[in-house]
Amino acid sequence: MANGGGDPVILATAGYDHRIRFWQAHSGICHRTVQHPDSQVNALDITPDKQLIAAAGYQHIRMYDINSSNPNALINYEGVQKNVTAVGFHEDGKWMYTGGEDHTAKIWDLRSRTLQCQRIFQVKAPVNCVTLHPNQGELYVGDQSGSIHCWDLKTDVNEHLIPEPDAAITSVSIDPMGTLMAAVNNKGNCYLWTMNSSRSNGPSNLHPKKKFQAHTKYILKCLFSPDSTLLATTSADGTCRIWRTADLSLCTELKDKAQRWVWDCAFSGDSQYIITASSDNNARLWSVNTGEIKREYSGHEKAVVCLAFRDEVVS
Amino acid sequence: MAMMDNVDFLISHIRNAFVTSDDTSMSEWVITECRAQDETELKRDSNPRYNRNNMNIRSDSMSDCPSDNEIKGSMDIHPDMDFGAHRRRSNTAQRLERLKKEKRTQSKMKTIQWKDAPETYKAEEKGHLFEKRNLPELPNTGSNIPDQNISTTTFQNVPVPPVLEVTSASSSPSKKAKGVSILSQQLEELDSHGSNPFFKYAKFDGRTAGGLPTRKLEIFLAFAPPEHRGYPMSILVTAHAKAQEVVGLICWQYTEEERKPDLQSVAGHIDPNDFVNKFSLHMAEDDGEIDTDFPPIIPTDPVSKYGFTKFALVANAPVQPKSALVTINVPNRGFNKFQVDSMTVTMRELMDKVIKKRKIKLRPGLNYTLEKTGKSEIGKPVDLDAMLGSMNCLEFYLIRENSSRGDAESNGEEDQKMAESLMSHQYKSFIVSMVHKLRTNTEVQLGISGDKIEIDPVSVKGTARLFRQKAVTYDADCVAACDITETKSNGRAVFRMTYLNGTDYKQHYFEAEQSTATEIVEKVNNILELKFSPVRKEFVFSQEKKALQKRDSIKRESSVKLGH
Repeated sequence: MANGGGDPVILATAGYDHRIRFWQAHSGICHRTVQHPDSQVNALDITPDKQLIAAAGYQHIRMYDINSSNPNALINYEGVQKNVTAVGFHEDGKWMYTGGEDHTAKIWDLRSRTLQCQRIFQVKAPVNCVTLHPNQGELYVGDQSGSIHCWDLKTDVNEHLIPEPDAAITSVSIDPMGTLMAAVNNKGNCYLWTMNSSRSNGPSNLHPKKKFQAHTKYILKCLFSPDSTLLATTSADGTCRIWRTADLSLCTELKDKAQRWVWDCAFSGDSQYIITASSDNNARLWSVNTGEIKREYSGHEKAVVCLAFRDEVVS
Repeated sequence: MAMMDNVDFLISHIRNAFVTSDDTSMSEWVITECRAQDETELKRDSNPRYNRNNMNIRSDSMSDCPSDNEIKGSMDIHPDMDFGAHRRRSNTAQRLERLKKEKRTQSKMKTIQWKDAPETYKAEEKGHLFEKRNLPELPNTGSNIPDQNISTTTFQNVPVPPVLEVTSASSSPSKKAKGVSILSQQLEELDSHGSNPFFKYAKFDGRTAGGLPTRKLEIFLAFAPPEHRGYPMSILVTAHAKAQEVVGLICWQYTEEERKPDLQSVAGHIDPNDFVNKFSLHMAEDDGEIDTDFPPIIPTDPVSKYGFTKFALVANAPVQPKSALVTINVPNRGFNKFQVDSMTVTMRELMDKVIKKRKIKLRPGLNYTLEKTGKSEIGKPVDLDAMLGSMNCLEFYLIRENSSRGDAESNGEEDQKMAESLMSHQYKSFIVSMVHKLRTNTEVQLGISGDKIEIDPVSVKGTARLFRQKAVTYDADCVAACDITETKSNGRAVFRMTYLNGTDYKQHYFEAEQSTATEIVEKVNNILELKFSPVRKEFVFSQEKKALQKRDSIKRESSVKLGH
């Protein structure tokens, strides 16, 4: 992936204080803060070329330049009703996907104004999360009513499943190898499926693998590690738990007295570290194996609810 | 929708927003409904982003709203709210201006509106845009998962799959093979060559604060080589930072800029969590000279409190004696004096010192606290976790909870009285009104000294000569008594002076402000007590006799009554 001369490691956090902070991940120093006026930030993601960061807020998605000191957004995507709750990119930067409380998932053409890629996917409840399958061809949309919609982009075929009625799906994750899918809900339950994308004309086949109670309170996010061996779940109980995907045994519990809701997390490229974002205004870097806090990113004045992180693996 | 995780705050916010602009009072309806709905949904789980059922379960609502009181309190009406006499411009004008401003900042921002695709999606035409990528086949992945062959899509009958031995067994060697990430490398590097120990103060750096109010300060470094001393280091600090945090930020930036001499050599070993006693911040002149007329800035004060922006950072400050002599009074039991080495010692440590020294037994339920000296501080215990430096006081009282300074303080009052009585021989004059039985009061000057009491008329024009009071002087030895006879509701008091004229006791009545009257009576009585002249003795004796007789007569009367 082109790097464009910027820092190979990028960490940004944002939340309710209308600011996006950029950190030196290894030292914990905030090196830049940009304002995100009029709205909190619900989700962040970095473009594959590491040039821009997208912040999803109320009725808009704004793109900021990562490698300059420009305090204002470069591009403002609007025309969305209500909150945008999820944002992400195709790995070649062809298009951007978003999900929102307007009951839709959208695909935005990024390359030009040709609108070739513009797609919209309507569901019946506010969308909480949208995840792109690593094969870049399927979107998994989790909604407030408890459905996970599997949308095969090429064929436009979609299926949906409801692992637990009346429990909102808060997050869906697919491991980088495309063999496992996890979904979590607001009852503290985590569901796991095995996947295989042998089908050519529709979304991957899903086989239920396991259901387990990962937390006693809401789970806000689940995420597979880049090496697919770990699954992190973050919860309203103030912890982030890391499970071994092999047997779903608890690997580490990341816990701190000051920590409150843990909203978001991201693994380092080698799956040795994890960064979490919490309502106590801090983000933290933890060692996955020991569960100790390595760095604290403090500076936000309100809850930190999302983060975006890019790391690179050197051989 | 704002995703606040505090229901109370939200409802209060909505209500306030409505109340200020809604004169139909329909808003109350909305809120009542909303509240009711809110409670019914308490039982139902929902997404935390929607936060309807947070109130009972979680404790996450503290930080996003300042305090409970603020929520429950009535709404604030600010002068800039758009109604009534405060309204200066129309809503439209304001909105237009805001739009204009936004437009200015957005002029460089490209805005892209969502547009639906011009034609409906056809896989044949556009399918190539959404091609799937082949994922690399990895040997140790889910392909090893035993095939479940379950037709149902529910989790009801899923057998717990056996442990994936392949994945778990190969996990550790595979990690090594995969190499490390850049973040891990950077972390390791930083750990090996030591990070900036003042790291936690970096967040007060205004350069990265992004829109927060900041202050630029010029810091003269007293420990820099002489040729550099005149050149201040400028720092940009967030406006709310305390002096202590500013010191931390200076140290951080100093270390970060790799200035010499390094701080370790200046101040010895530095514990970043407790180095405030190593450095102190002083006011400085424009040329960098340390202003020694003032003590160092109190570490817990916000720097924004000080109007000036030039400070000097002094290491191991010799400018002010760091040690201080602290006096702690223990009511009824004298006082202890302590030499403390640093103004950063907490009040609790001081108190514990006294308690230990005094061997005061601490029983459960018996708590001690400290109060500053001075009458205005009575009943105001100091914050025991505060530092001595922030007290601006070096004398304290050790007070047991629910107790008072007791007679330690009243001793002081007695001392004062004693001093007054010793002063009572000195001449002092008062202007008072002399009360006559048959005519209006006349103003006189009452001069009192240890030997004499003079009554001098104050000449008032137009007063008939006839009525003028003659100037008289009484020898202090013939004054028998002086007491207040009446206090009036207008704040004045009448007092009486009894003197011996030949063989008879005579009285003069005077009227004065109550405080003056009290002072005169006390002064005269002090003199009488000290002199204890025969006249006084005689008078006191006769008074006592009278009282005794009275009592006897009462006794007799009552016994007579009882006899019946």
